[in-house]
Amino acid sequence: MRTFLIALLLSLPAIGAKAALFITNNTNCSVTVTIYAHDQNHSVCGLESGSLQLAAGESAAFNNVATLNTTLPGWQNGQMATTAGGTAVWGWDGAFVTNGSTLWAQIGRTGSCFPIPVLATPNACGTSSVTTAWHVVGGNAFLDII
Amino acid sequence: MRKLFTAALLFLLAPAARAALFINNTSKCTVQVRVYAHSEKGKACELESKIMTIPSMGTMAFNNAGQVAENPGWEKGMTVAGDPKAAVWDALGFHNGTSTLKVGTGCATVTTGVVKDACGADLNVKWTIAGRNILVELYN
Repeated sequence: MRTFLIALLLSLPAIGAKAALFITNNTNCSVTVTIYAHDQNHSVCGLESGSLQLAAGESAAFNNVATLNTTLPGWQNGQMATTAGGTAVWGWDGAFVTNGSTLWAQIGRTGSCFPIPVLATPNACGTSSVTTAWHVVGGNAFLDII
Repeated sequence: MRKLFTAALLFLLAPAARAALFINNTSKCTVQVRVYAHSEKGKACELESKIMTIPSMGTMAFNNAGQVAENPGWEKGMTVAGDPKAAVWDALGFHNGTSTLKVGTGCATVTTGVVKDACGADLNVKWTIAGRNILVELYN
């Protein structure tokens, strides 16, 4: 009985599972973002997205890793992600953000392939510095390019 | 030490931030919502968006209120006055066909609530400030 209750309690967080990825480009420059994630068939950073182009002042949102199976920029090499097992099994790991020249930021969560949460790059958008930040709030991942 | 520095850096970034609005529907049902905002020098909720339909496991992302004009558009030909990036998000209204639940600030009195969705299930609608962004989550 007790085991059952514990199992039930453990399963509760999954019901309102929140693990979306929200990306914001608040700079005045276009950026290209590559997203890294994992699921039951792919180890940490084993899922690599195609190139997501974000114009100045654009944002993007992805509900879960499987969203990228059917939504641009998709996963590279025909990779397919699954949400099987819940957020204990799958998750967003990090991102590579570049503008093709000065800006070259690899950031992400602790324990990922890019375990650095914040990077500032001087003169990355004209003479403006660009800060790239990865943070997790309420189970959701936020990638802010400021 | 590094964590502290990171936290401090994020904190410093916050005041100058122009917030994005993200809507995340992790419920099992399609939802219909409106967003409310105001121009830099305007009054709370003076801008009302048209209804937008978000499928189960669907998301919406607005970098700034100016983007609402493109999709789904503002009601009655409303427009953001001044810099769209300086406009402020006020609330989100969820409609289930018979009643409305409004969460947020300004014209909303609650930031979270529960209401029946169009599929007959209890739907949580939650408005939170996540770092520099505003996040509205809809979930069963």
